[in-house]
Amino acid sequence: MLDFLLYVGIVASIYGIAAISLNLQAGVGGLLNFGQVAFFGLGAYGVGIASHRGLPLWMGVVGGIVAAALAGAAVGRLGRTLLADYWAIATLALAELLRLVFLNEEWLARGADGIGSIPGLWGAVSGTWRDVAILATVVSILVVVYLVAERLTKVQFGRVARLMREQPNLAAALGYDIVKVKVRVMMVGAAIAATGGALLTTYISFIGPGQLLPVDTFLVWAIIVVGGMGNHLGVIVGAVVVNLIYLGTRFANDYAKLDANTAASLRLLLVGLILMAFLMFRTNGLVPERLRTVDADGG
Amino acid sequence: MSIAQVLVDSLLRAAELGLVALGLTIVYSLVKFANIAHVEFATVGAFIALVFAGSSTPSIAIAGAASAVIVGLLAIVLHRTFFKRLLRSGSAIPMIGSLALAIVMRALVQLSMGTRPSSFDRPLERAIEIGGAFITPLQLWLIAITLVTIAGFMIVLYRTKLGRTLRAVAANPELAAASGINVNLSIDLAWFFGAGFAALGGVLLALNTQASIQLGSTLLLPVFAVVILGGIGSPVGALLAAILIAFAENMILQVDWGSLVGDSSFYMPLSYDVAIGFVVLILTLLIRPQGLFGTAARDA
Amino acid sequence: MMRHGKRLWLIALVLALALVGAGCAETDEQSENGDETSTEDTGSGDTIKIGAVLPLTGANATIGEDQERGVQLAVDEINANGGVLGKDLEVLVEDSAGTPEGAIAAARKLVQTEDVPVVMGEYSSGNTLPMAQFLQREGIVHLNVGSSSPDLQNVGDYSFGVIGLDDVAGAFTAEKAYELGYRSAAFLAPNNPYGQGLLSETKKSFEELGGTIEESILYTEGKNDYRNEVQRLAAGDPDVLIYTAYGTEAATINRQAFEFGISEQIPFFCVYLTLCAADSEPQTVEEQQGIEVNYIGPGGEDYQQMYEEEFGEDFASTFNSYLYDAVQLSAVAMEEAGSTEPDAIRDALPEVDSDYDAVTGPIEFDEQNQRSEQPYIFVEVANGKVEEVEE
Repeated sequence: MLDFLLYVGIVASIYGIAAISLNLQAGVGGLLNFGQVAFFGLGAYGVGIASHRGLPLWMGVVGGIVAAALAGAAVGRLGRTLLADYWAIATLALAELLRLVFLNEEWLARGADGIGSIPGLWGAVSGTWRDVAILATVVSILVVVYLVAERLTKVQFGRVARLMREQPNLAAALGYDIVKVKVRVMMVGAAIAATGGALLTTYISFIGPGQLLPVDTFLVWAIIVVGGMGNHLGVIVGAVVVNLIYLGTRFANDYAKLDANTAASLRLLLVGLILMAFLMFRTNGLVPERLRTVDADGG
Repeated sequence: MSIAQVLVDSLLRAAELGLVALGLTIVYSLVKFANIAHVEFATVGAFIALVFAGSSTPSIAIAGAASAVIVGLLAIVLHRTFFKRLLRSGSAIPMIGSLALAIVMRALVQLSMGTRPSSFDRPLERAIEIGGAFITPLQLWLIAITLVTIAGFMIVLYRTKLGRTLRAVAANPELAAASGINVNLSIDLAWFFGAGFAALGGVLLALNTQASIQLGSTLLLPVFAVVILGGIGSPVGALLAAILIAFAENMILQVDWGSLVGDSSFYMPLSYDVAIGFVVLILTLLIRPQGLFGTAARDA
Repeated sequence: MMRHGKRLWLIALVLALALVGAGCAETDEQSENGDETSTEDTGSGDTIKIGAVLPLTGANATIGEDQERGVQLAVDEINANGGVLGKDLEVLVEDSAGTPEGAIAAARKLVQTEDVPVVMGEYSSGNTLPMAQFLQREGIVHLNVGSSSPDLQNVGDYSFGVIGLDDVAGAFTAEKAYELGYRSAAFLAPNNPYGQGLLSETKKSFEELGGTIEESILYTEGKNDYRNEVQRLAAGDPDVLIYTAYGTEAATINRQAFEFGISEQIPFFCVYLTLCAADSEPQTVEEQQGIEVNYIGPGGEDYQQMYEEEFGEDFASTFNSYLYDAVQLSAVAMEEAGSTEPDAIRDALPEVDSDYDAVTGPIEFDEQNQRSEQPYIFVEVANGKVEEVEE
């Protein structure tokens, strides 16, 4: 049982990392990115491809992060003159396109078979202690990511992003190059997402195109809305909550004697309904964004 | 493969996308947000019809029509309880909401129908030959029903008061309201037609292949490609775009590109068929976001 | 305030890097196995539990359900005869949802929360392989009951196979096709390790005999419409279309081939015919020929009868009997070892294989722990059922 809890902890932390990345893009920057899973996947596949070619782990991680950052920049430029929801659909299409490429191009990453037996972190340690070590590693990276995100949000980077979100015309009028801001926000977010993807692969030691499906983007969106868009601590809370529901329903069979199909549908149904409820009644999420209020009269 | 077959396959594929796209373009032009759950109306529609249909053609037809009406009404309910509220916060929140709704709808279908695809209880047919191309009678019906429905709706849109009202609300809701039009009713009607057409499209698609929980989601991006290429709010645009994209998909797959690539024979891998729609979508967004017949897309 | 933040930053960053660095320090391909996490002795509860990961949902749900039937029959039979090591046997079945990630997650749950020493499954090689690799790493015994990719020979010492792999199936298919007079063939299979393995094995054998496989397509799973694939293969005018496809996908392929008259022009030959026919409309597969695993050996008629009495119908697929054998073998191995420790079971299995009278025919593990002999039979669909062809 302890092992399974460690598993939940590790997965929740990785989702936390992915959530912070989307939070920077969507929560702070107001960028409707529905293709987040692509950046995550580039990090994951970076590790997989490196392992497959016999290259060291770190090269895969760095490669994945760089690829994701470049992809993020490209997508950010795409938003040059596009309406928000058009851009969102474009991100969805690009993510699906990436998945199709990984699915069909055998030479790239073994196509539909995926890459298995990937040596992960802490290979020298065995059993439960390995999972504990991985949890410690992932959590500490999560903390670093959180601190980075907090810092970026507090300084000008974040302020400009928020301005772009709320008043894009004002931002342009003030002389900010909106495209540049978008590109930067997308790049940072993509790099963080790729880090999360790389971590996941080193943990489950397998990567396949089935991990690039849109349902993962949906889960991360659910996390940031439930957790609190714009608040990084909030989305970490969201990651824990959503993962508890999602992974916890695997145990529903055991107690309620549900059949496999019911349990599988219930999992997504619950998360979907909760997201709908939060969008209707509490768009701020569990831990709302903290905005500095400026007293117009005083200081 | 003969050119006649390519044309026939393209018409068929265009019909598969056409009704669902028609539905989306109607709703999108009035509510102004991208509804990711729209294609799930097709999935739900297909399964509702499946449950009620028997094996005789009349029973299938009635089940299909009934399903379209039910789904249309369902859409109105969803709008009034869910989307209307979300629309108060702009167009981003409803889009996120539609993502959630799509997942919920799919989960509910899976809960009640399981993951295995189901087929309508219809007899097997043989394809007939028309000018060198093969097509089954059912597929001919699919194409015919789609064309008739689109044509019919265009008549409604451009020659009736109802149609004028819908177009007015799509063009400028405030002005429409000011001139006494009941905007809420118009929007309800748009949802009814939009979802109803999608459901009908789903039923036809399921008749031709099978009803599966992925029926809608596999259509998502191709249908958006059609709507955006055609221009939001334009049924004729949707029809034309559907034909163009379907034709592109088939041409690119059937042609031997060997000479271009320097190989003796090179065919595009079949698994990239949907990718063609995606590429068209992205290119349209880059080059001409308003599509063929839409009004100019506002800048970000 | 700033300085606190900066320090916290630095500490966290250093810590993270240190942990990552330490974690990377020793990465080996197959890390040490046989760890001591599962230190249960002969089961702490009053039942002995082993696990099974099956595709209860997804494209192969029909097969998954049938596999579960084989499990049930074995469990009932074993417990009626005294159980294992004095206790009742329980097989915990988890759904893989037909995906590799699902299979790994299901196996993880069984291993980490239920401490099972053995996991059977899955069905599709693309799912079985990653799961087997996971189980090998964890030091848990794996029994392959339905997959046939030759890659399964190389997973490791904890992985066993009770069903024949495709090197033999491919050769048998090629021989039969050649015997029937076919010289040029087209080939269609799913795009996954199973399909790829079968293609390369069949092609190798067929070409050795003098035939050719001109065109082959590995189709993307989960689509609604395979007309393009079938038409493209038919365009080359081959003597035969050798194919294999999962239940619901095969149903679509067969129906569309029927509608467009393709199955009239070109004979279809299916590898694992009960799989291809499982969900297909009978009219679309009538008289289709193919091969099948010989799912009932000399010791198997009683089992067949047991199945028919319990479920009121003939075998829904060929795969239930392999689960039956796998469960029985696990029980026999545990009795022999006197323990439910994975290592003990792993060592006992090769010893006891010939002690058990398997319903699928004699099972003997070779040096790579795979079933050394797998007879196949030539079958066809007659009156809606898959039957052996009298020769």
